[in-house]
Amino acid sequence: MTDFYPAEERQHMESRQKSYMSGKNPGFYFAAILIGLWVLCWIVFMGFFRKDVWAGVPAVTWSMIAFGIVAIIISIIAIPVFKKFEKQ
Amino acid sequence: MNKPIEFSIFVLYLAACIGIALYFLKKASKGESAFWGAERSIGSFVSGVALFATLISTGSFLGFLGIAYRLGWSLTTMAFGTGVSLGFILNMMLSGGAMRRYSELRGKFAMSGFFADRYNVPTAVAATLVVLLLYPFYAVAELIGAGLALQYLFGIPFTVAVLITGVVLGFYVLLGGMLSVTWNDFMQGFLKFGVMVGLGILALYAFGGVGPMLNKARMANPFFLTLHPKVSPWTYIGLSLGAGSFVLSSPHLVMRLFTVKDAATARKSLSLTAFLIFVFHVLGYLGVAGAALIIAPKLVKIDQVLFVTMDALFPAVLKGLAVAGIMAAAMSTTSGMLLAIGAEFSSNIYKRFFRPNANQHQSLRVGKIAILVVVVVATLAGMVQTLSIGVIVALTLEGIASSFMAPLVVGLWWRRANGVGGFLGVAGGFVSFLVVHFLFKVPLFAEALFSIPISFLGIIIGSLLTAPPKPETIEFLEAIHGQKQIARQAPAQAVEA
Repeated sequence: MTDFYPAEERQHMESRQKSYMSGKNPGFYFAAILIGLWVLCWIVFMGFFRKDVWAGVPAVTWSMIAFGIVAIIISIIAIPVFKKFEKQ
Repeated sequence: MNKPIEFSIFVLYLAACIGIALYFLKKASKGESAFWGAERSIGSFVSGVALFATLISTGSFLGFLGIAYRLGWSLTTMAFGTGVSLGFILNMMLSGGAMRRYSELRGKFAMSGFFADRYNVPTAVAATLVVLLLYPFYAVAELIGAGLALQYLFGIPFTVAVLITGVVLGFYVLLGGMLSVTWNDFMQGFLKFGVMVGLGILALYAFGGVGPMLNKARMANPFFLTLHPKVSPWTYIGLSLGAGSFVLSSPHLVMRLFTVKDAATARKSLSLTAFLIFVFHVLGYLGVAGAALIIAPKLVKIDQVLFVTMDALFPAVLKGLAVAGIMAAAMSTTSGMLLAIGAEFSSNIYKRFFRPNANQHQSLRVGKIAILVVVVVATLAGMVQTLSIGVIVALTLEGIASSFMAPLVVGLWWRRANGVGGFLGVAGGFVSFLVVHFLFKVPLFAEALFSIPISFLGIIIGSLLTAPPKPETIEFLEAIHGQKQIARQAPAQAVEA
């Protein structure tokens, strides 16, 4: 990869980057958690427990329903977290 | 007329749609901000319900319900329902607030405007062409769905039914703009949620509760709750990825976020939409598709699952509301797409290539003409009834997701992404989707598993091999993340941006 930026500008831009496009931004870390959980559910339950059935419903379907509920709860929790972050 | 009560309620519904448009006629004619952006006056509750209504088309109301009946509730609930809910929540986390700020800072109302400011003009034009190419097909599918519903329920000739839908739809979109569309969607969202979830709960009650009803349903279709042996696991994953990515990045949904009061309102509305979508698919589909398996276990035309269930369980008044709900499903999604087509065409084709100095009224007039042309063409095409609803809806959904998801998310979160990368992301995603769909035999709905990663690769490789974006682009990016203050641009000035 070619370094297109002069060193001084690069340092300045990297310091700015940390504040809004990094793990400190609630949107970023909540999204990372959700995507990670979603991928994990598919890999574990579709990959390894595809034939498991609980109460007539496949384990992978249960996992996705549980994931959906968790995702909605996280979205509610995130609303005040965003507010606090943006006030800072 | 053999169903006077249902028909009267249906006529009342159409009158309400037109009444709402007339109410907002004066406000919508003030200028671009009023027509395309509803004067940024919409609150989180109205916006959340309207976003729900925009997503739930006849594809969800009739098509996917039929798929639940035939291929199982797990496919539509876990793959589509959960995927779409996740898409709205990721929209809230990754792009909703930033895009809302973008629209206000630059005075723009089309998503491709963001691509022009973040990447370059070719990327924006490519995005507009994808919208102009795919959305009209979706409108045709919705009009066909509405025509089939009216034909089945009232015996109205199919062509007349499509014509009625097209005329009412064109009327309220052209007259009242986004204000009319949002408040119509608000009403339609309640109707759709009430019909599907209400009918689902009624069905569970009518057949003795969850356990007894599901036992009877499984006698008709042993795979109603399980994974279907003829459906590839990649179909489940691909549908979930495609649906979620579509919701995260489709211009007609992103445009809705431009109408709300601020970024926090946008996030609240997206969270509410995710909740409504989740309940609609989990509870509504379980009850309605399960009941249809008991009532009509050998149904051939699976798009009629809702009709047979409501015919058996709903009294006449509720049936009338259900018909209005089906019409709402066709109208709300199409109205949102028509507005996106008008805004994209006027801002990215007309202003950019034909009349860069056009004032707001000229640009608005051209946007309305574009909408009118699409309504007329879609209505005429719908009357011919040569296309399959499910195929068109699935193609549009996956094509949009493949073209826009990666450029939008990467453009917002990776400073190094540049114009070349953005263009390769949009064009690469769209072309690879077409190539995979038409030239390769992949499992149903699995195209997105190839085309979305290709779109990501296009942006990353294209950006790393060419010069980085200018410092003012980075400043612009910081501003839309709320990190930095920059001067706002009024809609009229946005022409020069």
